[in-house]
Amino acid sequence: MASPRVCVIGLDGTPASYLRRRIADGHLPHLAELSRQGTLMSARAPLPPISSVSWASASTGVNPGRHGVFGFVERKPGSWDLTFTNVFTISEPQVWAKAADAGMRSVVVNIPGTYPAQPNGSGVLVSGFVSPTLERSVQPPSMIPFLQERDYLIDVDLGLGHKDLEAFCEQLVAHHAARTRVLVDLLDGDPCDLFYVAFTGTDRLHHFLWEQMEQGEEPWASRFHGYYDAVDASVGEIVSRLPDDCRLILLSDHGFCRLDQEVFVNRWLERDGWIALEEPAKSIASVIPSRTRAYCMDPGRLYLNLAGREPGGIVSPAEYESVRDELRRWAEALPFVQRVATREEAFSGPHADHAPDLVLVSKNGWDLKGAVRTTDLQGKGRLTGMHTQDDAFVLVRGAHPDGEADVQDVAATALDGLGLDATGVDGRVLR
Amino acid sequence: MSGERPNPDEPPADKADDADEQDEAYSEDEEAAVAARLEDLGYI
Repeated sequence: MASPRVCVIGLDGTPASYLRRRIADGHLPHLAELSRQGTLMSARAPLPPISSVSWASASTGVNPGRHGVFGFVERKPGSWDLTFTNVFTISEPQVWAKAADAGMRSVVVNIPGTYPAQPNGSGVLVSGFVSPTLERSVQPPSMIPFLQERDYLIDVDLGLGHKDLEAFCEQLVAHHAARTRVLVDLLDGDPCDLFYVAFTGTDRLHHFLWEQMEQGEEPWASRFHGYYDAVDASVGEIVSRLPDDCRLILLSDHGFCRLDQEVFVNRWLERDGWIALEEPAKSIASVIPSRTRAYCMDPGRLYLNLAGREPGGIVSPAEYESVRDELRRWAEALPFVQRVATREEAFSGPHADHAPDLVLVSKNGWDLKGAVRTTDLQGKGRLTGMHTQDDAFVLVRGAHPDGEADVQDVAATALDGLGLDATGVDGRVLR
Repeated sequence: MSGERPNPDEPPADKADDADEQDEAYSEDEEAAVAARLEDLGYI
């Protein structure tokens, strides 16, 4: 059996429109060739469109109401303290777990939300963002020296993006080269059935350099496009090692656009009397429950302060629908909101009851934040790019499906390529 | 779609079961590092 049978390559946050534009201008030769072999589909991310949520859908094939991940942070049950989502939050099996159950071997590298690394059958798993240490990010741990010998870094120093863009760009390039070395050497090593990996430097690049790229501001625009040339070359290196009959799937987990303003939704709620905070507020744990009817968790997840669910909740279950309707009308009137989805509209499954009561989808340029450290309603820092739900992409080599893809289709298509049952997931098989 | 209002009495059963495991995913030191990275990208 040729190895691997299925290869999934993620380019975190890469917009379909950016790829199309660069390919049309004669760049990105390997991605251009792949886009001739299969349709470069626009794709939609789940809500909210952030990596922890979207990669959970791309790897399980189900919506957040089934896999249970709605953000990077959650309120601890029965408390206002925050906790960070992680691999234990994902309550549906990921493609590689199903493959292992069927006796297949997988190599999984840098998928966000997979920390701490869990044993992956006879295969390899290296966790992605947010992994604080390499030691607990690698299964089997005996692979750690292999990674260290290749100068593997889980992520770039994001603080550099705020302090020194030149150094940030240099580290991005070095980090990308090391990641590529590891991936190529893994592909050249023991055979596997599933090779499921992501490049996440693209997302970091976008966060700090999107606007500069869009405006052609040098040297950053050239750095931006040059980084994509390196990504394209890495995709070419990987693809050159794949057998012709390998099902190759490329995706991004969300789109990206220019960030004009960061919007601190809790301060808008405060302005209009929905929430009260003890100052200086550090997190949502600074909330004053007795004077709070609703609050926001990043990015744009609105919750009622529901009696019995939130500590000190003041919205009674009997008032739930009417207060939520009032909150929805309030949100729909905000200048930065494109639309508002209820949990029933956005999610289905056993964890839908754990979902935000409402999810705000912002207009492009307005990046919704749950942070409360600032008292400003909005502002702009060093971040110049923001996520979008639309304009992600999926490309399956040899496939020309109609319509728009959904990120969760990736897992369904991968399962099908492995010969496993793809009927129980929400995603469709892209052929 | 679910269409049900949340049960205010308790978190979903398996969420409650998973809560301890989730809390243990990151040590205290690791939580600080995670918070810093999320803050760098504007998530908290």
